[in-house]
Amino acid sequence: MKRIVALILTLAMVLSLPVFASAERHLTYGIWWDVYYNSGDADLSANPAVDPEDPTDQDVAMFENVKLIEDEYDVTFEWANLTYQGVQDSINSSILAGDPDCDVYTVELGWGVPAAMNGLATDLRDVLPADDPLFKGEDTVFNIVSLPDGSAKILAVKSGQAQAEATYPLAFNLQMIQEANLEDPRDLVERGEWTWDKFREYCEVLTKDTDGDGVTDVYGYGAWANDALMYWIMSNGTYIAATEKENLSSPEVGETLKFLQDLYLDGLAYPIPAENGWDVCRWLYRDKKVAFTTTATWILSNYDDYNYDGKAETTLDFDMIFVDYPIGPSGNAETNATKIAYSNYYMIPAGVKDPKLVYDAFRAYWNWYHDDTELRDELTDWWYTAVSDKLEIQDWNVSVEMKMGERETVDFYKLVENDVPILQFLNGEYTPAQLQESYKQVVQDALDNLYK
Amino acid sequence: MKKALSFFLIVCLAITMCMSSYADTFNWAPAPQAEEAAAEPEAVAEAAPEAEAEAEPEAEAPAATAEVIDFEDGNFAFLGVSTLKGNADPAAVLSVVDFNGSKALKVEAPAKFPYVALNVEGLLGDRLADVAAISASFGADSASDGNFYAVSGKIYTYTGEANDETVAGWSVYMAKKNPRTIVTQLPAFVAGAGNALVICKDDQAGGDPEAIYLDDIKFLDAEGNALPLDLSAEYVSADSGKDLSNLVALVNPVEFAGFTGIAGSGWGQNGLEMPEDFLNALVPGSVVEIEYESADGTIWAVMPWATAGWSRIAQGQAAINNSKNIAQIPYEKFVEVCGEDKSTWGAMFQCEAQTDWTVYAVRVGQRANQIVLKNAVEFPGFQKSAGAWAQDGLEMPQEIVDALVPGSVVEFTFESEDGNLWLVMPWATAGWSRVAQGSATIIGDKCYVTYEQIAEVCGEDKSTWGAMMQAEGSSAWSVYGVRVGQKAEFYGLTNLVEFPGFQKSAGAWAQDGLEMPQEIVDALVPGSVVTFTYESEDGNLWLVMPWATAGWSRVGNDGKDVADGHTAQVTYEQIAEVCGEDKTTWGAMMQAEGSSAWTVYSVAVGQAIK
Repeated sequence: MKRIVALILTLAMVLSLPVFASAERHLTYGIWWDVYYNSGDADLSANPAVDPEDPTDQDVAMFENVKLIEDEYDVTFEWANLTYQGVQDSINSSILAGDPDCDVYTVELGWGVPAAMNGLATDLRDVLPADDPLFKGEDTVFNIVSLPDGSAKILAVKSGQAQAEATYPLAFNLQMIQEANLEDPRDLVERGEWTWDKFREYCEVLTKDTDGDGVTDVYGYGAWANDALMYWIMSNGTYIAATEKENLSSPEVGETLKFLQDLYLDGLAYPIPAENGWDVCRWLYRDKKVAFTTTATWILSNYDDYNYDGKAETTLDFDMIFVDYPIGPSGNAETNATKIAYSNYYMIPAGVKDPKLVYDAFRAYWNWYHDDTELRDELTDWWYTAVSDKLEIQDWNVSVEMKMGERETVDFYKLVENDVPILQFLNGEYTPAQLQESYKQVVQDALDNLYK
Repeated sequence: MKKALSFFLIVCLAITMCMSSYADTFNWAPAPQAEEAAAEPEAVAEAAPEAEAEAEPEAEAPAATAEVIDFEDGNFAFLGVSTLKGNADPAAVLSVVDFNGSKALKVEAPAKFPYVALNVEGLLGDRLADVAAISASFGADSASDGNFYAVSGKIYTYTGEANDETVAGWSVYMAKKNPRTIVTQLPAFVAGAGNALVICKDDQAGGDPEAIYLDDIKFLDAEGNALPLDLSAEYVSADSGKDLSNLVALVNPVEFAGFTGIAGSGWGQNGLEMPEDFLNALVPGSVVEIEYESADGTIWAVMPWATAGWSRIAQGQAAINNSKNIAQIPYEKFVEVCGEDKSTWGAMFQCEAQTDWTVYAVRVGQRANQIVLKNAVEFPGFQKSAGAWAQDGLEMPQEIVDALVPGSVVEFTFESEDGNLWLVMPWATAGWSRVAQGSATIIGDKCYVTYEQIAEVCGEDKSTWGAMMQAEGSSAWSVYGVRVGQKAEFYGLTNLVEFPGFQKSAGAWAQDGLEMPQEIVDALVPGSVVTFTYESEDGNLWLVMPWATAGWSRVGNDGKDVADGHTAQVTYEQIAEVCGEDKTTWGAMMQAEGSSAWTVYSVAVGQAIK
């Protein structure tokens, strides 16, 4: 009898395993910081940053979403903090061994792209139907990071915050434009007439020696080159390090370099000092030393330009208006990229079980707003109040940033930014051709490290 | 019977479903090492030797040579705690304990991050150059809340003739993969060049600091074969001298005779009556220095026979170095408690701490700020020796002449029988000149002579000083090196308040920091000093107050900065000069910044010993 029972027990155990395994799944999302909410979180207070007595709509929605995901997909899930090194070790060891530790990994592009290119990530084109909105850029939740082989292996989460952050719009001093009797550049954008040539014309008018001492007091343009360079490159419809082959040496990039260098060498742009250039150039607009600048919300908030927090003793007595970058001769206002990708990225490892389920459940996590994109894109007040003290300008400036964030592109120029002497170039120590020829291999070496 | 079987089947199904559910849902249970090895390609080679080790345990007697460091004999003299980086915890504790079924090296550092250095040259001997990789098992404890948190760290190697630094990462990122055997490729070591290998833990996903365990360390050649190891090798710390962080220098120190190895339990006092020479040296401007060890790093003095009554001195207020093994108590702290009249303090001097303690030495001396040379220039070839009252030196190269400007100082690293040294300018227009005889600042093995002292003897015009610079002493002396640079001084700091969580890194001209907690704001009073433990590529670091009412403000990069590449100090008065006297207008955010990539390991505010 004992033997029979033991046999039955063994059989039952063997039979029962696959029955359950297909009925429920625990998903692990590898990351290197703490993320909320997870299966098993009892209430809103599981997130120490949330006041359970006064949660935001987003907090409540994200918490309630956990249960909905569990019910709909028959899964439980957790964000596992593996440490930064641990995420990379897990990717490099467990995926290679064919048994990924996690179902989704958070990655940085610098090491996520090489992992994806070396076969460690699932290509979602093999998982989702060919007509999935994801592949047309129409998914509500995710964007795909475009890779040289056309695969869809790295995801970026869409949100208003993600869209607006890390945009560096062109901005102008409205009163300076009005005093110079120049047409508002926004109108030129509207009519498709906002070009590099027009921008240069504006700079020529706006550059002034106001006290007649022979020294320029106001420049048409001034900015920190590392903030601005890629935006000018994109305005000419091009890139530097977005594919396997470097593009620093391309005619389009050469065209952009010449345009920028001419602005500086012709005295229309504020010369960038060798030391502390970032500190000087980012805030030239505050002292009315430039009419146009490349800026960001965080730059305007740094000195509380428009008293966003109510603590400033004085505010700027002029308005800074965001506007599209003018279009270069090789650019196209309809198709130019307008933001360099900067976000958190995710990949589903190769070899993961039932990748469709993993994708759907992960997508559902981020779709806590249930396709209500207004809720998704809600920005905190800071984004508005930091950029102006007038409601109309606040809305306008934020709309420009949001529009820029709609067309982001991946460009790895940042990896070599400190190796390419842009300041010396703008000050005339290299011609565009010399810079391109001297540094194209530096860019190529960085890309080779990424993709090979 | 059928019903019974059906019942059994249902029960079994239910049980197994639950078991399966648990395993799938909470897949964090530790898995057997063999499974871990199977899941990790690099660990496969480790599985078999481990199994063999279990079957045939090694003998307890120390083995002189082996191919694996398994700690089974308890020996770990070939490695030690390192303070290689500024975030290293000098008080890290190493021990051999049972872990995962065998002996392993347990590495604990409750305060900061532990660094463990291996004497690779001693272990590998003439096979050092054959090393291509290191294989080691890394394990992690659970935190005090019983949970496992992922841990990670780095393996630093210093290789080649120039000891170039290379960094590789390691991690134990999941409980089910704890411990992990990790193979790390290494650059080529060179024998005799002082090459080194250091393993540290520097990240943990949550909870209180977990101990880590190292085991089964092997050095592999290019073919993956384990190289023979000489386990009789001993690790000798490369750290030179004492940790003088937060301390003043002692001039003319007088040792407290017999105060060696005196110990007490937590809150227990022990001590000796003060010898006369010690008591005589205990005068205004002096400081009592205690070399000690205590479990929690605390120490203070007790004067039990004082007329003012049984008195604790500087409890929680002594200047204590980052290694927490040297404390300094200024004379004024005794006066505060026992009164101005030293004759009323009583003869008995005791020590006390919150936990068990041992004091190895007590001394008293006049205090001097530690001197830092900024933009220092080496005097090439200045290694000279001579007998008492004999001079020797070299003609100054142009870079030394150029560095001799007002505010500069000549630094001799030296040794002499009576501790004296000074400078001689034999070719000066003013005539053969002794400079700073008896008045040079002598701190340990350093002798400092200022530009102004030379100018006082030889004249303001340095072109008249003559090209020859010599040293001289009243006893036999040796000078091992000479440098000239701008003189800056570090303050000793009492009442140190740590700025919690201030570990930040950034690139050149980038700032990062934290909002100041209330205890830091409270500690910022006139006479206080903000001290940074840091590293930066060019040695510079200063403070930024971005939210000051006076506007975004840099403090300490105006040439008045005191920074030596490891410690930077910014005074309250420097901040007030830039941000205003009213500290409520300084803003809550405190940041660091440098002119090259920088890492700050800790920040604290203390009161300057002046």
